Amino acid sequence: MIKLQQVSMTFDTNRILEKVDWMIPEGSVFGLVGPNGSGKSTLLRIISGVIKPTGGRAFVDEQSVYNNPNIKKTISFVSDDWYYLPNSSLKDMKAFYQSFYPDFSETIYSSLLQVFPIKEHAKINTFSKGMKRQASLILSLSIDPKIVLLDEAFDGLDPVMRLNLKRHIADLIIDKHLTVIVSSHNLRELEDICDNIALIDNKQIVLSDTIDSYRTQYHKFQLGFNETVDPSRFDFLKPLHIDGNGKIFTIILRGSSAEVNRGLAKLNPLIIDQLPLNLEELFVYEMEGRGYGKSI
Amino acid sequence: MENPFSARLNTRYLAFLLKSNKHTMLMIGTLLFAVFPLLYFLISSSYSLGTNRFDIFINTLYLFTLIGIFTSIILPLTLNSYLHSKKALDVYYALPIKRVNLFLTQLIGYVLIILIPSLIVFIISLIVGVSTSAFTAIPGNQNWSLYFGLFILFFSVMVASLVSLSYFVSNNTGTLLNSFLFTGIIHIFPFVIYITLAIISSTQLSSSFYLEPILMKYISPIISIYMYINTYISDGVRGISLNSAVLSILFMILYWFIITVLVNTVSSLIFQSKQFFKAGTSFTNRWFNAIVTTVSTISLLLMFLSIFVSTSPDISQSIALYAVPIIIVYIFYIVFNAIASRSFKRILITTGRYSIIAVISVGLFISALSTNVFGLSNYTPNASSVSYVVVEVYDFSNLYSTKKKLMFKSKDDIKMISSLQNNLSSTSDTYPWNKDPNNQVDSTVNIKYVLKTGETYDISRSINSNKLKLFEALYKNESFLKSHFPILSKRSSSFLVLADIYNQEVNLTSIPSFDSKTFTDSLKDDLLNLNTELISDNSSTFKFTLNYQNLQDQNYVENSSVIIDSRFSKTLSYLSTLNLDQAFLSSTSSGQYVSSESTQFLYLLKNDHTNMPYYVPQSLQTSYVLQPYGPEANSSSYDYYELTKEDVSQLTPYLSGNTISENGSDILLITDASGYTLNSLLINNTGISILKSIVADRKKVTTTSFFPK
Repeated sequence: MIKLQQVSMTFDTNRILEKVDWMIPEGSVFGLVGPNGSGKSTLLRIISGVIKPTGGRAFVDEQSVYNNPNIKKTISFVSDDWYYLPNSSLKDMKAFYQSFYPDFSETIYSSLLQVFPIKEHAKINTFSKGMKRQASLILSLSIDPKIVLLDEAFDGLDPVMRLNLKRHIADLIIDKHLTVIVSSHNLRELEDICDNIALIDNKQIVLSDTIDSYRTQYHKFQLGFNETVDPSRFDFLKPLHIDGNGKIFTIILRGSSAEVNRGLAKLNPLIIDQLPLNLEELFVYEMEGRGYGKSI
Repeated sequence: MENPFSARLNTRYLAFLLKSNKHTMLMIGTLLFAVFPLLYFLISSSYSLGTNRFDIFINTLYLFTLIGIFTSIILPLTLNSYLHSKKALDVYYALPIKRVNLFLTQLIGYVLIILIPSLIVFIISLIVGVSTSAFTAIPGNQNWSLYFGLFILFFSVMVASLVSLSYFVSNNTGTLLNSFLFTGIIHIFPFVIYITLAIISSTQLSSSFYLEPILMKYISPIISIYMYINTYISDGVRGISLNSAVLSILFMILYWFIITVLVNTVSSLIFQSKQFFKAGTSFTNRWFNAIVTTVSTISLLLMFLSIFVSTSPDISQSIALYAVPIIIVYIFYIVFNAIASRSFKRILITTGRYSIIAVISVGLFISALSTNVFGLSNYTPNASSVSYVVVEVYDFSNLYSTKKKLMFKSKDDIKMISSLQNNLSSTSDTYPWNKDPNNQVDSTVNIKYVLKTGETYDISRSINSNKLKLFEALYKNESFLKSHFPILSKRSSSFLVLADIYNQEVNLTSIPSFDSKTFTDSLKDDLLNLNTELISDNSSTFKFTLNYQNLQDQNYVENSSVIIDSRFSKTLSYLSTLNLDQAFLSSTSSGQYVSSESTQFLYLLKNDHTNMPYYVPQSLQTSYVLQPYGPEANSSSYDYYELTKEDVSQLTPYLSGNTISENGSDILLITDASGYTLNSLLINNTGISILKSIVADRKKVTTTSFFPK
């Protein structure tokens, strides 16, 4: 289990995280979303022990992560821009990782080489961005981790490779009860793989729940009226988003189904049609509700 | 943060580091092999024989060390460049290894990457070279396993210290460019300090001062190992035993080992607390940046101040001269800061900082001028810590020149030399004959203190001849006397020719009753008992010149002489027992000296044409007329009267040897037939009165071409 306790991070005068409390149960697959510069990467670096928080602590299995090799060897962190030794090949980097991870799995390594067809002896600096990403994933997953932290992991991968990666991670989750945190802007990708989503904003985790729970709490309706309606009539429902003018509106509401239905009934619409709501919409409107992007 | 001393080596990572850098190691090894021994063999094979081989051996060893130094500085900077990249730190800092262990493993790895090829090449070359006699430069009588064992130890510690310094700089800088810049500064910095001290000493003090890099070997590992090769290996190759220096070498090795440990302790703490977010930014450690740039700028400014202001030691008159170095270094400072921070944005703040640095520097500089470089120029080691002192004097007038290096071991002698050195800076004693400002000639004094620890402290001063009088103290010292008068040394001469004022000669050893030991003992006693006004005493009357030969080695005989005047009472007393009058009559010339019949006696008048006196500095060894310097003297004419042997016989009580004439004087010049000066003696006032009456009706000769040779 990963536990963040009052974690703060400040760099010079710039506060990136402020007293973040977050708990990630073992075996869960978390999608971490948030606007640019919200601290997603910093949060992953703290969990992986790359940086020490300026306040609070990060724990894995009740042990502090920072400077703790016993815990760190169970964590694999794949950053958005992977570093490899100058002029090295995948085989060279494998040797590098093997010198730190005695449990480096040749079996996983070989199987991943089948999934991602990378030439082991070729120089990494000749690889495309997507191939470099594949190489980093091969090595990171070959250390046989219990926790995998993927920072924008799907960036640069073509659709086939994305699918392969998702499948492989899914297999690892099932086989090894892996805990995964994936940060991404692509909520459609996360929807496929994650069972939990956390939203980071304004230096804190503002939402963290299962996808199913989100789906029961957020609702999208199309409403039709027989006469022109002023949008201010919907204010008592505290909508996340309203679209439309006159007689037809699309509205996104937060709350239990019963509460939402009771509220809508008070409006006495001609038509009430519930529409499917995907995660991307959910978080876009949630962020809009929090003021993100309004100044642009 | 972990205790740096609790660090453990990650052997798997160390093995990876060595394996992944095998090509680098091979390259270093090949480069080293190319200069030592390959270059040595190539060059030395072109010489058939001779001492050149020693120089080739030492020079190729220098090159070998230079490559070691270069790689020790550069390699850690490039291997550590990951510290300047956030994406690299994402990988390294996520690894399951404690930072303290990562630091230690990398440090050891970098050192081994350089040391393994270096030592393999060096040791194999040495074993093969010595066993096959290919190293013909190495004498067989030396304990080479010890000396080169010490070199290997010294080289290893030097590599470790240089790698540590580069690692330290990497830890404190945010970019590769900055790490190179600051490493360069750190290694150039000791030389700037050295140049500054040397310039300040030589330009601002009353006498020039050469600071032997005793200080330097403690602030720069590069200088330290070069001094080691230059002093010890070089001596060893030339067959000089190094046994007495082993402790000193071990001390230096231990010193740099301790410094290396200290640097790495601090470096490890900084490495552990290094902030991820500062990677790639200009300065990761503002303290490091501030300290290094401030200290190096102060040093640089001091150096330029010493260069520019040296032309005008009067501070009040040279304000404008201060501005030039301040502006030059300001430009350096601004440009350096712009390169380091890749921005000119902070130019106002930088200028403000520089103003403070300039004020501190000028303050330090003025303080250094007013305190004789904080007393450093007057520093003498404590006599109780000195093992022995070696003194050399090169005196243009030959009054005090030592013929070889003199070694003083007794505590009293060491104190005497220390006192002498101190007085060189403080005294204003002058010789009367040297008052003429155009006649300021420098003499050189080298003093080397060898401390009981084996350390040496060398001082070389170029002093004005005015201060040579101080060296009269040396005449009270037996070592100096033996050096100055080889007749007193154990190698007795069979050629002891005594010449009187008419240049009549007698070889003392041909007199049956002559006892060499009694004679030299008397002479030594007389020399030691001469009063301290040795040179300027003009009351003594000339008696004899003793010419003798001493054997320097099997092939070289040195001719020497000593003037015996009335103060040599014991010597004269002994000579009086030898019935010299009879001996002079029966003596035959050795053939080396002119016969008395060809001797010419000239009454050389004080030069009235230019009103410039002749100076007659006469050492106990020789005497000669010193012509005043300057163009006027060269164009002077000289007035003299020719005298007969009978004229001279009336003057003998009034002629002085070992004399200097304060205002110049009439002198008696004794020459051979070709005009070569045999002796020049000062005539006192009574003698001059007698001479005036003798020459009253003789014709004065005036010449512009004549001058005593």
